[in-house]
Amino acid sequence: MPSSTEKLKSIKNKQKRQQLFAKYKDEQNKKKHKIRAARAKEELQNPELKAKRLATNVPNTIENMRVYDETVNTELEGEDDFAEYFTNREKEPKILITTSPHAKKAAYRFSSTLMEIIPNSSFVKRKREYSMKDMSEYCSNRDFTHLIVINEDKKVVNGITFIHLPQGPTFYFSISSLRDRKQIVGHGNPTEHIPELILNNFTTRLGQTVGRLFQSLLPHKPEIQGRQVITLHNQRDYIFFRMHRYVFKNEEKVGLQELGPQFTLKLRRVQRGIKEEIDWEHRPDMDKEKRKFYL
Amino acid sequence: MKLLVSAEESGALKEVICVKGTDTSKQHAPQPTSIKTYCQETRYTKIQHFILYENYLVAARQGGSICIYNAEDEYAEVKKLDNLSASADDAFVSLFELGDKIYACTEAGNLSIIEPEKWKYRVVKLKGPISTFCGDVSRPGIFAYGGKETDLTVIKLDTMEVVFKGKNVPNNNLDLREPIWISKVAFATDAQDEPDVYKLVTVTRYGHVRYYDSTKGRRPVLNYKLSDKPLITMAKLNDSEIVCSDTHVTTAKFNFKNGSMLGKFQGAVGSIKAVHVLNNVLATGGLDRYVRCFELGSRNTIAKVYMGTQISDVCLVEADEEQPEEKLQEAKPKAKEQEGLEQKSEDDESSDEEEMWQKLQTSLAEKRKRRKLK
Repeated sequence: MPSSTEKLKSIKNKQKRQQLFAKYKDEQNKKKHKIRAARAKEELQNPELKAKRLATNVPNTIENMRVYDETVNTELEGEDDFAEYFTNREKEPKILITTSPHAKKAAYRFSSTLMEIIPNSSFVKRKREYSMKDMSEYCSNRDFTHLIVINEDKKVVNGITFIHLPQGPTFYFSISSLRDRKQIVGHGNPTEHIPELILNNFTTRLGQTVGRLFQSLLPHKPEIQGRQVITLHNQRDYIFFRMHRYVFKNEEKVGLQELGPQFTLKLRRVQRGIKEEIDWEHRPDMDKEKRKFYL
Repeated sequence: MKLLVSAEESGALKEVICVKGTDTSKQHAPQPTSIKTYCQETRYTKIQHFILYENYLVAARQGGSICIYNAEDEYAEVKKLDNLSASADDAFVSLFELGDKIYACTEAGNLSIIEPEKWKYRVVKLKGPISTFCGDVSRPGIFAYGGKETDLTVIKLDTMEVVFKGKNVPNNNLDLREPIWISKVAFATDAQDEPDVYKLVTVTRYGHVRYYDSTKGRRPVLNYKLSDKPLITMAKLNDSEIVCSDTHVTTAKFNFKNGSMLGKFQGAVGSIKAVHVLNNVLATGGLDRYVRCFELGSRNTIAKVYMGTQISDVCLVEADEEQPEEKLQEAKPKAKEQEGLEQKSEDDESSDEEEMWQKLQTSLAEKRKRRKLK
């Protein structure tokens, strides 16, 4: 609208000019809504148009402008440390959960929720005198397949370490946005059935390793009669944990009930063995490039 | 450039041929000419170390076997020597060729001396645990080793006579003993040295770089703390310079005679497990599954290739090749064009409101100026 904007420019009174500009914006908005309504009407009658518009008009997002990564969707070469879980279907995972030393209530509460979620897991109170390496050794002697250490600082759960036993690797994630089950409105309570697992967007080689870690935490066969599902959704290197119960209402509709908890994981470090050489480590300068993702 | 890389997760050997400027992380950069996989076994018999000996490739595999492959015949297996290690967990720590013999040493101290062509071997037992074993190029028969709580030892292999033994550094300021864990050792013998003078450089799992000179006593002459992290690899460049890497992401060039850091080699995301130097080019490979080549002087990356599996050893076979400049030049404008396109598209998006506000502001400012002038 060159004419109206030209007119606006010549107004010397700032308040008047702003007023008129607001009015102009409002008009533009209304016009936009009208066009949209008309388009919706049109597309309702002719769905082809909508399909065509959606196909051609793809907005740019950070995800689809992602920096090229040659490891995306490549097949795994050889075997990694998790290969045993996938080949030996007889052996079920056995998990020990513990906390950082001098843990407070928050850490214990979180570990009890984790125990409810992860089948075949047990909790042991952390003793100061044992390091992570000692604990992993004792755990591997007792046939545990994973050791989970919950990190708590100033009464806030802020990190979680997964150690795959007996030979590693070790993963450290930071935890943020933790919401307990009770904080979720309309939440349900999980049953003891083995949940299903949905892994979303773990595409790069590193992402596959992380995905395989989560896979190896749960027994091979989910009990589908429990209708419980754990979702680990990776978006821009943040992994969102959600747990739901589903119900098929009819052939098309599915009802979801959130079971909680909700939290967000961010991968900070992957180490080979039990906290040995660095395999991958997050550096602050990795966040500089907004369109580069590692998982 | 031609590189040989041992793939840890598949137990294979990979041959990479690429030009300078190769970067698999960039779509428009030159890509490797070929990546071929040979000698595939399993992860449990992965190649820990390998060397090229004339037209053979000698590979020390996990589980205590040494395989000899014909490098000219698509790496066909020539011979396999089994049971060279003390136990199944006993890893090979070094493998090298010196004076027409191949030496392979394991962690427990089983030293196998292999005669090429005949592929006969004899085993000598050294006192372990050993983390590194190396020989002096200028004086055949002289070898040095060290390890966890095994201080630097130089021996004459024929007689097993210890000719030089390192002494630990003095206790620290709390009067506590400094632990010993030598991870790599190399001879730094000068050409004009007497035959019984031993000069060596070591790196340790406690982050030290130490220089020993037998004329000046058994303790290290120079001792530098380079890193808080364990140093695990070392390659000697010349009389005073080494390249070493730690268990984190640092690979650095270091002068061990005056203790100055000469610069870092950037790019690695995971720990570097192997370095190899040939004709002013450094090849590195490690847990981030990339093999990288650097120019030693400028420390610029000249090639970066994704290998698909973690790397336990690399070997630069040919460092030189005619630079295909045309290709490089072609590649560059493409990238520029792309950027230009992206910018254009961004410009289109910018809403006309902003434009309008800008117009408003500039014209108002102009008017104001004019008014002032009057």
